[in-house]
Amino acid sequence: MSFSTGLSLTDLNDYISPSQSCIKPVEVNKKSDIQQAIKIDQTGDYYEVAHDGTSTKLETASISLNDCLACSGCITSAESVLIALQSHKELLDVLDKNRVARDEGRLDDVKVVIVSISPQTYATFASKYSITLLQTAQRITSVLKNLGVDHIFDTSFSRDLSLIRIAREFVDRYRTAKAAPRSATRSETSLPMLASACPGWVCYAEKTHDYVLPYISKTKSPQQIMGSLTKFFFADKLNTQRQVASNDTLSTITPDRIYHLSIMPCYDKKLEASREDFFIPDFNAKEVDCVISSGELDKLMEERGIDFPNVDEVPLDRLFTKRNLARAAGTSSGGYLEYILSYSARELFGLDLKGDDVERGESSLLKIETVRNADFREVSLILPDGSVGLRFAATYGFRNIQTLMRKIKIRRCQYDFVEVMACPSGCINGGGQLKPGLLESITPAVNGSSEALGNGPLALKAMKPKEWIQLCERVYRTLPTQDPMANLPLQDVVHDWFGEAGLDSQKAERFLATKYRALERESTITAVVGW
Amino acid sequence: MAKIKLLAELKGHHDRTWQISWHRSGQFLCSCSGDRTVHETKPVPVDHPLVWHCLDVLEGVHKRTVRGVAFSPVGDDIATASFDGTTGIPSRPGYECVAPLEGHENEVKSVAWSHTGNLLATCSRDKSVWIWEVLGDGDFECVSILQEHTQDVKMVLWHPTLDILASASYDDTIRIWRDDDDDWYCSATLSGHTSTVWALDFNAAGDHLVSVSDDQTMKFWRCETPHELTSTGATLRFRQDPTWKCVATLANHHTRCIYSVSWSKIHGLVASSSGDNSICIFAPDRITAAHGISDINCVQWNPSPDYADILASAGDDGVIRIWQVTDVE
Repeated sequence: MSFSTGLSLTDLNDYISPSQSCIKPVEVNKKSDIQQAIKIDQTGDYYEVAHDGTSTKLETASISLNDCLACSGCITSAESVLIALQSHKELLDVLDKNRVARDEGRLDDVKVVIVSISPQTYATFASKYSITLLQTAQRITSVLKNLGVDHIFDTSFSRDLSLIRIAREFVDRYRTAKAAPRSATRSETSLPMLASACPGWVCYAEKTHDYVLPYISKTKSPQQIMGSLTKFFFADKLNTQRQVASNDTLSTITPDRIYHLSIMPCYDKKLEASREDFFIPDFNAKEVDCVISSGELDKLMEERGIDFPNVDEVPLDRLFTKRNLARAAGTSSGGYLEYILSYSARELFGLDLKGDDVERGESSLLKIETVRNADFREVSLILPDGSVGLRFAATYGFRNIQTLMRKIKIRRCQYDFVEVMACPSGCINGGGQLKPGLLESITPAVNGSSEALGNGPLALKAMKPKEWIQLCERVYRTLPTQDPMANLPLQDVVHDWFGEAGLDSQKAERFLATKYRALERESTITAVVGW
Repeated sequence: MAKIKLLAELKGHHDRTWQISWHRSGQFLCSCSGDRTVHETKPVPVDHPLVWHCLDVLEGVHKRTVRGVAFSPVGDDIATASFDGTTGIPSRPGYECVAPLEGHENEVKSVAWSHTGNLLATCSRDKSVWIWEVLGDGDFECVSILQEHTQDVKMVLWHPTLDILASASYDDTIRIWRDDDDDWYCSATLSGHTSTVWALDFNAAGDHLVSVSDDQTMKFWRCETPHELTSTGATLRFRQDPTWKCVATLANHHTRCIYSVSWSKIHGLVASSSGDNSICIFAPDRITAAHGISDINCVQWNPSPDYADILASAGDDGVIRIWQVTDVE
């Protein structure tokens, strides 16, 4: 079994790694009760040998993403097991089928193919090729359009909606928690509120720490909000356009007629897309049909013989894409801490604090501390009278999650909000990102990144994983920042989609919120062994 | 030939005894067992370890076997490793009850305090080694989760004077872990044993290691510090870690798996215990049928100069035996 590149890093060994005990029972298709023998040939294939001597090759049992979600054996995705179902080959298959359907005139079978791309994906390619993020996005757009993809969206766009909703959720929760008497029970109004965007963390919590589930924000991740946007809002838009254009001669676009793929820094996003909460039963469809990693996009281009440095740069799609690919202030993990802190400083205390201020740490309203290591930061809002208004933290990586879990377990957690991410250094270092080992053939960096690389190819070749991550983070931050509320096209979408009530509407709740459930750990061994 | 005398038998446990840890004073010890308890036991009077009294039975902390126990090298804290997947920091008189450390997926096999008592390491069947920083007052911060072993990790042990950790595994290797700017990494992998490495111990100086294995051998490893680099800045980018070289292998002393080893920090004698029911002492000497027909899971030299001739052993018979070893060359 080959492990993903994400597991080959030795200097950053803080990932949640696959468990040894996959306990998912595999369904056995027993065809007869007659006793048979099993034979193994030289290539390692298994054959069932019947009494009459005939042998049948046995199929290898395969495990799907849904199996992994339902199993408590592994604590998270077990990247090595589950990639088969969602790979870049699936995208190519869909595009091929579209071509055949078009050639044969079966237009109703043609799917609208949409690819949503994460900004961390752009950052990893921009770092590898020493080009700007905008150039990177323009080249990837060109590659995907040439393959036959219809639309390319930017998950920074849906992330703004995720940020706005989570900030509102925090303020509500904070007010409720402060109004209620201190309670011993852990409820959905307890503090701290914990970020929900990292599926590795959410999956880990569901499988091993059920007591923290009530603390996790209900806001869907940018990927899944983009899923709702494409499968519902965008489908409706398409239908309206088509009715206007063609007087209803074509059938309606339903969620199952859109194929939505996202490109993510992280393998656990594949698991997230497979959650039952994001399944659309009426149409037997998913909000996000397939997730591939940045590394798999790289592989796809390599297989297609695409010479990335010489790809044309074409204009970006304008729909669901931020102008200049602007980002929210904060780290490459999305800026949850920064935005929620600035929003609630205003809402709860009437203080003017910008996300940029929090990112730079430049404000008398802030106190910033590195607690243990770079992956555990505390950011407090200091009120004009000198008291602490809000206590936030960002904890990245498995070890810091452990410390946080213990604080919550023994009720010594002072934080109001924690941005939790499973990977050390956050999303920029996701298991699906490009790795420095792959960079040996690249020429020295030219813009912005040359400082990190020292001088010339030798330094580049010797680049440590940590330096590579720092470079990618810096490259990500070359994007201009924009307050999520200043994303005007998004405001239009919210108004259009949810009506006058906007984010207070039930419809918004339906499309922007989710839930979590604990997975019972099997303890059969204890019962049998008794020691 | 050494003179070895059985001084006492401690028969409080109701199931096999797994491990012993001496208090740094050498005046009492604690032991853990399949009966899910930890016993703290003391000789009376202290100077004549012939009659021992159980001072305290810690029970109710763990739901399954307590596989490992360790006294802090400073203070009086103990830590326990249990098959229930948790690491106990049992409450003691006058101490607030501290919640056990969680995180391992399954059986915790061993627990160890660093020389300052500021770090605590654990290992588990889940193949991982965890390091916690001890902040006092029940606060622990997880410093590292090391997942390089490819199989069950049997034992963790800290260097006697430095923050360097060693671990022994079912993957037949020993790994040495060091700290670089708050990131722990594997600085050396010691290969040579042909089966599970069950236990290890450092000498007093910390420049030698002894390991024992299911392959029935005992190996001695010497730490070799690489030559200082004098070349240009570029090469300084690479870490230079000491390497560990196997300098001796002792075979044919035990006829079955060797489970435990203890290297006295006082007189330098090494004691080993085995599934062949014997304890060996090197300069080699043997106590046959030290626990009758039972496997011997642990031997521990008394750490105090005042009682350096005292050796304790724990066996599958549920008994702790106290030995006196004298007249060694």
